[in-house]
Amino acid sequence: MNENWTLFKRNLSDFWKAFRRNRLGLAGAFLVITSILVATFAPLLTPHAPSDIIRDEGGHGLTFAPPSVHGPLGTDDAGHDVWSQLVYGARISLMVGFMAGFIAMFVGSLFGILAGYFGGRIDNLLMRITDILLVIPDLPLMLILVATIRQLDLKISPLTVLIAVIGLLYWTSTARLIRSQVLTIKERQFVARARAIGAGHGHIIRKHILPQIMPLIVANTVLILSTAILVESGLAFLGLGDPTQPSWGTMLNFAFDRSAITNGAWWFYLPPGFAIVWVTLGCVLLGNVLEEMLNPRLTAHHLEGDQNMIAVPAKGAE
Amino acid sequence: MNRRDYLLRKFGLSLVTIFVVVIINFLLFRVLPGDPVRAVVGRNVRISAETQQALREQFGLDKPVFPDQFFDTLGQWAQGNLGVSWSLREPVSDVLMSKLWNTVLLIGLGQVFAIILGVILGLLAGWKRKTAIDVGALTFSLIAWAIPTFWLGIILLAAGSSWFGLPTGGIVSPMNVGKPLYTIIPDVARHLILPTFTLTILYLGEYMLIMRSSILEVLSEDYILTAKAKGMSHWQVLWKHALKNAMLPIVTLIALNLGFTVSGAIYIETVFSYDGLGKLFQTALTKQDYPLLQGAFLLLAVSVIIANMAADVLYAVLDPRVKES
Amino acid sequence: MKQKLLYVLVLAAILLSACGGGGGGEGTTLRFGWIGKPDTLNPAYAFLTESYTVFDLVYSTMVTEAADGSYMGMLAKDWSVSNDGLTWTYHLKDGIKWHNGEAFTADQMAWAINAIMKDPDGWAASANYTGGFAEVTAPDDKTVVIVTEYPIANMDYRVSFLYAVYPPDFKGFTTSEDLQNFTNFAAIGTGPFKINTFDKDTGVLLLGAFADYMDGAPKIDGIVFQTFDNTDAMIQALKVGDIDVVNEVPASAFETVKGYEGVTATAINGRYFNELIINSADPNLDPAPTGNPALADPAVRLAIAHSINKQDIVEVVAQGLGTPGDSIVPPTLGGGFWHSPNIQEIPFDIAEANRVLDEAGYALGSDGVRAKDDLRLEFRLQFPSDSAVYPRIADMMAGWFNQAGMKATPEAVDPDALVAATTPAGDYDLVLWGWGPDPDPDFILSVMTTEQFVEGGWSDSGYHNPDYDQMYLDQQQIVDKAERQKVIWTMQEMVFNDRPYIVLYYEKMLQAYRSDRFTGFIESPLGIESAQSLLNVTAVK
Repeated sequence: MNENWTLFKRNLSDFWKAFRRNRLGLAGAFLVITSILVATFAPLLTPHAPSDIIRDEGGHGLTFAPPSVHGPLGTDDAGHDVWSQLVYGARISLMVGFMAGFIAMFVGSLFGILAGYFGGRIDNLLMRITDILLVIPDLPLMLILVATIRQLDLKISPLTVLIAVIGLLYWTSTARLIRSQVLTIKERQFVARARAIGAGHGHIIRKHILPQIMPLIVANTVLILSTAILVESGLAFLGLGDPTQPSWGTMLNFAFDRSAITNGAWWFYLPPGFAIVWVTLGCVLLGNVLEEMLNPRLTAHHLEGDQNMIAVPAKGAE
Repeated sequence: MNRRDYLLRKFGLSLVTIFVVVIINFLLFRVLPGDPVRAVVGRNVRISAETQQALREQFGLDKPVFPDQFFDTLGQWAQGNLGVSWSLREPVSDVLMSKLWNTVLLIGLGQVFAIILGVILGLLAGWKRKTAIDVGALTFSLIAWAIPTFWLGIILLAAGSSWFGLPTGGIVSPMNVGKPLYTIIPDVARHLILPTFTLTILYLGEYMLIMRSSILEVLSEDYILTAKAKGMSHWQVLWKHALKNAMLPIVTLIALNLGFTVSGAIYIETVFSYDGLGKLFQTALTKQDYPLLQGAFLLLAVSVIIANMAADVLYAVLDPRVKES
Repeated sequence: MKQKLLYVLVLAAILLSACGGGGGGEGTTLRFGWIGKPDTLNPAYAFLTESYTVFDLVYSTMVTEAADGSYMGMLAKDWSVSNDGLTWTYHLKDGIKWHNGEAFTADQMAWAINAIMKDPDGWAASANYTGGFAEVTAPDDKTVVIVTEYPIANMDYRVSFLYAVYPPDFKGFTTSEDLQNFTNFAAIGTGPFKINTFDKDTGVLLLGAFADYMDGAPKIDGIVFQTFDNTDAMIQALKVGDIDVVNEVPASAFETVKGYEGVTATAINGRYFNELIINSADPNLDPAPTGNPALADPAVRLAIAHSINKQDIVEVVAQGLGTPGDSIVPPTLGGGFWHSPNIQEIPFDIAEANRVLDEAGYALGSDGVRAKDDLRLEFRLQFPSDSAVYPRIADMMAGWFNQAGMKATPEAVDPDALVAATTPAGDYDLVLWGWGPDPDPDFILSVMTTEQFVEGGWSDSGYHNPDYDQMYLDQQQIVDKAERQKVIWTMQEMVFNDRPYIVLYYEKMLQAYRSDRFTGFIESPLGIESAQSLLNVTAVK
C-alpha cells in the first residue's frame, strides 16, 4: 500500500477525534444521517404505501384530513398519508440530490485535476467553460434544458433528466477549488521527485495528488449535496419532477396546485419544506466543518480569527 | 496583466457567453419533435386542421429547421425582432417590456431592504461579536440559505393572507387596474409586502455576512487605535471605516447577485402570481410558447451577463489590487 | 444607527398602514372574477372560451341554446325548415336595436353570414358553422333565409354561433389577415350588455346594461370582468366581497368556498369528461403503431374496464364533484336528449377482471404480470403533465390493474409531445386525457372517426370502424331529431363496447357567487354567467 494512503488512514482516526468535539459538525452529521436512515427504512416507519388512499369507515377516501382525523400528518388532496409521502419522498429527494451531487463532484474533480495538473491550454479551455457556465443564470437554463430533454422522447425517466442536468451544471465551483489545490500540490517536492524518477502522469495523479485532495473532495461533495437537493426541490416545485415518484419538491407542487393554502392544509405544505431544510442544513453544517478541518488553507485562515464561523456557500439557483 | 487587458478579456468573455446563450437558445427549442401549434391550440374544438396549418405557416414551422428556420431566426434576433408569442399573439418584445418593470420593481425593493437591513444587522453582529446577537444573526443567515425560496414564499403567503388579510397574489387588486397610480399606491404596497419580504429574507444573509467580516477586519487593524487617539468615538470609527470597506464587495455583490435574483424572481413570482418576467418565463414554459421562452431567456441571460461585466469593470476601477494581479 | 432603524420602522409602518385597501360595492354592477381574459373580441378569429362568454353577452344570434339544452329564438321569434330539409326560414323579432341606437335589419344578419362564407380563412373561428351553406338572403326586413347544399342536422347549434356582427365594423378588410388582426375591442352588438371599455393588457372589461335590449333591459347596471392571476387570490376576493361571481372554482377548494358566509357555491353537471384512451390504431398503418398488441384483445379491454373504480376516482380525485361516466356524449348535451340510456355500465370488479383474463388465457407470471405467449399485459400509462388530476388517477389505476395481473407504468408527458405520440403515430398504450364542452354531439362523435386519425386531426385513439364512420356521416344529415338520436345512441354504444375510450367521469361545473348581493342566477350547463342567467339577476336590497 502506498504510504500516502496509509497516511490518509491515520489522518482519518485523528480527524474523528477532532470531529467528535465539534458540536456544529455533529449536529450536521445527525441531520444528514437521520434523513438517510429514514429514506432507507421508509417501509418500517409507516404502515401505508405512499400511493395508498386513506379511507373512512364507509370506504370513502379522506381528502385533506387534518392530523386530528388521520395521524400523524393528515392526508393530502388525494387522500394519501402525508407522513408516508414524506418518508418515501426522502428516497426520491435524497437519491436525486446524491446522484446529481456525485456527478457534479466527479466532473468537477476531474476537470479541476486536469486543469490544475496539466495547466496551459487545457487549463485555459476548462476555466473559460466554467466562466461561461458561472455567468448564465442557472435556473432559467436548467428549466429550458429539463423541459427540452423531456420533450425529446429519449425514453429516460424525468428523474434521470433532473439528475443529469443538475449534475452537469453544478461542477464549476468544485472544479475551481480542486484546481487551485492541485496547483499548490504540484509544486511540492515529492511530486517533483516522482516526476524526476520518471513516474507517469497517471501514476502521479493517482498516488500523489488524489490522496492529498481527497479530503477536500469529500468536504466539497457534502456541500454540493445541499445545493443539489435544494435545486431538485425547486425544479420539482415548478412541475419538472416526476409526479409518479413524488419527491418533497413534487409534494409542494401538488400542495400549491391543489389549493392546500385555501384549504388551510398546513399539514400538507409545511412538512416537505421542513424536510428539505433538515437535509440541506445538515449538509451545509457538515460540509463546512469538514472543509474547515480538512482543507489546509482554510485551517490556516481559521486560526487568524473567526471571521466566518460558518462559510455559507454562494446561493445557487434554488 | 494591466487593467486594460483585464477589461478587454472580460468583455471578450461576455461576448462569447452571449453567443453561447444564443446558440443554446436556438438549438434547444428547435430539436423538439412535438407540434408547438397543437400545444398552443390545446384541445380547442374551434380550431380546425386547416387553421392549425395556417398557424404553422404563420409561425414559419412548415420550413425545415436547418438552415431556413435557423438563419431566419438569427437574422430576426440580430435586428432586435424576437418574434411573436404563440400563445399571446403579441410581439415578444412588447410582452417582455410590459413585464420587465414589474420585476425590476420587485427585485429593486427586495435588494434595497436586504442591503439596509443586512448592513445594520452585520454591523450589530460584528460589533457585538460572540454575543447572542451575533450567533442569532449567523444562525439566521444559515437557515435563510437552507430554506427553499418557494417554500418560504408559500409560508409567508399562507400566514400573511390568513392572519393579516394581505392579498394572495398579483400586483394590484383587479378593481384598481387602470386607475391613476397615485390613487392605488396603498393597494400596490399591500401586494408588494409579502413578495418583497420573501426576497429580503433571502438576500439579507449575504450582505450581513459581508458587513460583519468588514467590521471584524476593521476592528483588528491598527488605525482604529489611531482614530481613537484622534478623539473619534468607537462607534464613529466603525461606521466610517467599516462601511467604506464593505462598500466595494456589496456593490459588486449586487451585480453578481443578479443571476441568483433572477432565479429567486421565478420562484417568488410563481408563488405570488406576480405579473413579472419570472412568472412569464414559467407560463411560457408550461404553454410551450417557444418564441416567448426564447425571448425571456435571452433577456434574462443577457442582462445577467452585462451585470457581471459591469461588476468586473466596477471592481477594476475601484479596487487597486486588480492592477497587480 | 437608531435613526436608521427608525427609518426602517417608519417605512414598514407606511407599508402596513396601507392594509385595508380594496373597493366596496358600487351600485348594482356585478363584479365578475376569472382567471383568463379574452384575447380578442373579434368573432372571426377568437379561440378562447373567455371571448365567447363576452360574445354571449354582447352579441346576439338568431337562435340560442336554452338552459335546458333545447334551442330557442333570440333574434328570431320563430323559424322553420322546408320538407326537404334544405331551406331554413327565420322570422326576426320587432324593434331590435344595435347598441348605437340604429335599427337592426335582416339583411345585416344575412351580410354577417355571407361574410363568413366568402372568407372562410379570415373567419377561421366561424367557418366550420357555415359548411354546406349554399345561399343566405334577406327577402324582407324581418326574414332571413338560409339554403343549404344538403340537409344539416345540427342547424340550430350552428346558427347559435353565427353572431350578428355590426357590418360597418367588418366591411373594410381587404385580406383575411387584416380581418384576423382586427381586435374589435369596441364591439357593437344587439345583446343585453354593451361594451363600455376593454383594456387588453389588464383584462379589465366593463359592460353596461343595454336599455333597449329586445327582451327588456337587464336588472343590473352592468358587469365588470376582472382577471386574476391565480385561483387562490380570486377566491380570497370572493370571500372578502371584492368580487361577486367566480366562474371557475377548483374542485380542491370547493368545500372551503361553500363554507364562506354570504356565498353560494354551485356544482352543476357540466360537459367536461376525463377518459382513458386505449390504443386502437390500425396495426396495418404505416408507420406501424407501437401499442401493446394485447390491447387489441376485447377480453383485455373488458378486464381493464372491470379494474377501474370510477366512483372512487370521483370521490378521491374530484373530491366528489363529478359523476362516473360511461358514454362519450355527456348526459348534459341537449338536456340529456343525446346521451344513450342503453349503455350497461361495466361494474368495478377485480375478481371478474381476473376471471376474464384467466379465461382468455393470460396466465399469471411469477412477477405478478399476466402473459399469453409473447403478449405481456404490461402497459405505459401516460398523461399530460399540465394537470394535477391525472397523476392521481394514474396512480389509483395502476394499483387496481396490478391486482388484476396487469402492470401499468404511469408517466407524465408534455401535452404537445403527447399529441405527437398519439396522433397519428399511435406510439402509446394507455393515455389519460379529457375533452371540453361542445353543445352538439357532432364534434365529440367526430373524434372517433377514422379520418380524424391524421396529422392535425382530433382522433387520438385511432379507432377505425367503417360502420361507425358511415353512421357519423349519416347523422350529420338527419334533420329529424328523433331519428338522429337513434343513430347517435348506436354510435355511443359502439364506442362503449369497443372501448377506444373508457369514459371515467363527467366533471361538475363549479361556480360561486355572493348571494348576499345578487340573486336570480340560473344554474345550468351554460353557466351562471350566460346571458339568460345574467338577464335574470337582480341585486339584493
